[in-house]
Amino acid sequence: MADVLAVLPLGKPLPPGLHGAETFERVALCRLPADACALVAGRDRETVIAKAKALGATLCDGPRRSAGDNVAFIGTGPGRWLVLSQESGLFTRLDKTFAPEASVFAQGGGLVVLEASGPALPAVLAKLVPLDLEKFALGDAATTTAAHINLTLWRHDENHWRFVVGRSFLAAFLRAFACAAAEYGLDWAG
Amino acid sequence: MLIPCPYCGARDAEEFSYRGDATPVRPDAAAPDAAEQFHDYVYLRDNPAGAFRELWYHSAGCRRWVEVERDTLTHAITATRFAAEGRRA
Ligand SMILES: [Zn+2]
Repeated sequence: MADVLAVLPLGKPLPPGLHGAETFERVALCRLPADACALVAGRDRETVIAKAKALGATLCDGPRRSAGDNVAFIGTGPGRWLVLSQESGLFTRLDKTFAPEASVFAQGGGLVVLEASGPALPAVLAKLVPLDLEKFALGDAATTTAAHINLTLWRHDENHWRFVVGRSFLAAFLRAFACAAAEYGLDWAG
Repeated sequence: MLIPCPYCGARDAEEFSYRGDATPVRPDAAAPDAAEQFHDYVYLRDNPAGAFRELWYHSAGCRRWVEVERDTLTHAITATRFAAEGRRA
């Protein structure tokens, strides 16, 4: 483990496979294909929240995940959401729904979505992010920092947490994640 | 030190950037002693031991300016609000 990171160039992502200890508690990490946009409400936030109904979402203006029809809104700030979808054409769909009360910015090229699971995940996250994870209910989200890397994360369901990091920070984030998970083991799908 | 952000909840101070005193108000540029007043506004700050109203930027979180009422002796925080709300009040 230590050897892999010692010889791996800093800008190169962690190679797929098992890293660190091989325990039954180990953590699995994979990348999810998703398109991403930022949605920024103007002054009329109520209308933006009302219009989200058209996408099947009850939009929460807080650090929470609000799910809709093949779309998810993650609160990143007051009147601001990171919107993710597995479908193509997200930007057009959002712009049609929310203009002119909110602006949409395409982020898909700049962001990477990761999903982690495994028995040791809470212990790994405790080393990564400065958050009180015990207080996180399902769907709770946070925009914070891990090893000086800005990221947005949320508790997706009982066993899975998801992360959004800048694409150019992926190698550094994987390195930090692998170090935090080393004592339990990391199964990185690549 | 944990700072209760109005949006994010209690977060470590390392997520914030410190700006300082939240109380100075931009002087009237048309006033006859504007140069003097602007000098004070830009350069002069109190350094109180005790209750203080200050600005913190939640740079690694919701990226909002937060006005924090903090005791500089005990670090006890009694109130926080978005800076824009403080200006409106
Ligand atoms: Zn915040």
